[in-house]
Amino acid sequence: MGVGVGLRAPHYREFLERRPKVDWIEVHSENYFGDGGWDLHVLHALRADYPVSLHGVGLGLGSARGFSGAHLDKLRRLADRIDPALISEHLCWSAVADRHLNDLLPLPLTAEALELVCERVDAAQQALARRILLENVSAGLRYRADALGETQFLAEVARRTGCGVLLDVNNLYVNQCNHAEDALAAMAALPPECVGEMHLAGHLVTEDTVIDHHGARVAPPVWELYRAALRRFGAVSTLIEWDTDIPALDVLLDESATARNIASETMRETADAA
Amino acid sequence: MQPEQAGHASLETLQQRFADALFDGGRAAGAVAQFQGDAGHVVSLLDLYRGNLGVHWEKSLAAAYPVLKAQVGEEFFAGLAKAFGRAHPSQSGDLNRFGERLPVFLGSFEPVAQYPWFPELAELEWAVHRAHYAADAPALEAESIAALDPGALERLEIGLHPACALLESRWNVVAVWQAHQSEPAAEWQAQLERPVRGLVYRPRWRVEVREPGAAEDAGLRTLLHAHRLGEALEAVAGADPDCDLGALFGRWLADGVLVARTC
Repeated sequence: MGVGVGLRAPHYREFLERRPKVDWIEVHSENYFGDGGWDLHVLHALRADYPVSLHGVGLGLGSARGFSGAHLDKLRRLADRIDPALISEHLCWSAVADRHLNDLLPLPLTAEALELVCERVDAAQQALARRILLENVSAGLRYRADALGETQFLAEVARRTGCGVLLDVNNLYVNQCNHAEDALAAMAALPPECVGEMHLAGHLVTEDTVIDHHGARVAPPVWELYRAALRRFGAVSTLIEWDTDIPALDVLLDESATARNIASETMRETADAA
Repeated sequence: MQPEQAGHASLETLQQRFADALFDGGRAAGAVAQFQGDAGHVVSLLDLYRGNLGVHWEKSLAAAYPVLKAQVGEEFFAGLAKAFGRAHPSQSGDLNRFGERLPVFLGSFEPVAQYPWFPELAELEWAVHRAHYAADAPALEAESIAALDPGALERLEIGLHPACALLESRWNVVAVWQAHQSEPAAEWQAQLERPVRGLVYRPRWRVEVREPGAAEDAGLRTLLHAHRLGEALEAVAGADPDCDLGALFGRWLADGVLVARTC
């Protein structure tokens, strides 16, 4: 679909008034779970002019306990209303039996977790009657019990369930910094055809760790990884994400222009080389 | 590496220990060994995740309770969010649902005991928050009413728009809410000490709050169960014989508070 931007409430007005030139938009699904109101109204209005991607942040497919069928029902209701071009969730967990933690917590990458995630992805795809994409997360912590790399895990879920992968290039970079996980090797673990979308965002380097805060421009090494991703996965739909200290829309449009240039340049080079 | 120690724990156990450590820093020790890296680094990352949890609580509550936040200040509000989040853990992956029990919590939260209107202010703000997400419905309009013959108007079943809510408070929290719709907030203190009724409604997507008079309130409450315009206006006239019923009905139409019921 080309290059899209994450639609956030501070930019609603501008989207409604000037229909900026972006190829598609992505929203956080949960912000449109209401029965009606302004947010849904805006999404419906923009739906006529842009393909929409629904990106969930609260389902927590890997939660051993506390997984909510009601949440999945709301997602299905929204998907039926919006008929999204893409629908995605995270490879994470987010709840225990008695409470929700409302975060994208890293999963233990074990055989047991793999079984559970495959069951849940099957259930979600059945409920939604759509293929979903599953996104790699930035993991502050890794478990001693991990038996697979995250992208190996994703490749296996994709193979067993038919789901696709949403490759967050910034998260690969963040995990490379924090856990010495080679981002190129992580990409190599994914079959080229399974990646259906890519995310690009900014991160924050602190003394202790690198955080995917989505509050800055895409960093140069992430653009480099994006080139590598394009060479391996082709020119798949790419999103500019920004969630912290949201800047003027023009900054997002500028980032998406950069992504578009890099994508066409890289695809030309690839074609020339072939 | 201690694969024997952590490797046998079930997925549920690994997640429960992680959750316990996020909820209570004092329980971090029980989770440290299951993660890669040295203990000090793991503890600092658990602290980071715990901090995020608090930030999510605070941001969600700030979105639902902006007036309360303005009244207590950012710093106090952050502490309140943490105390509330621990007492009433989030039950949904949709953070727009978080905070429903804040009004009740404020009623027994000692540090705000000298602000007795806070629970009712919070109740009003939660109603406003839910009204924002309430179902859409076409409001009754003057033109469609004008087209009805008297018999049809009498038979018409009407109700309140799904975004409407009626509230009662011992404190004038409607004045507090209204005063904070401008920046900087207008004066509200002098009006605080009297009981108030509130009507929450959503004309053209933006949620508004106003104070209906006793007669108007009686009319609107009648519509909650009777669904006939005639009965509602009778209730208004019963409470205030001098009320201009035509003007009041016109205001309801203008405010978009009435919908035709489809049965």
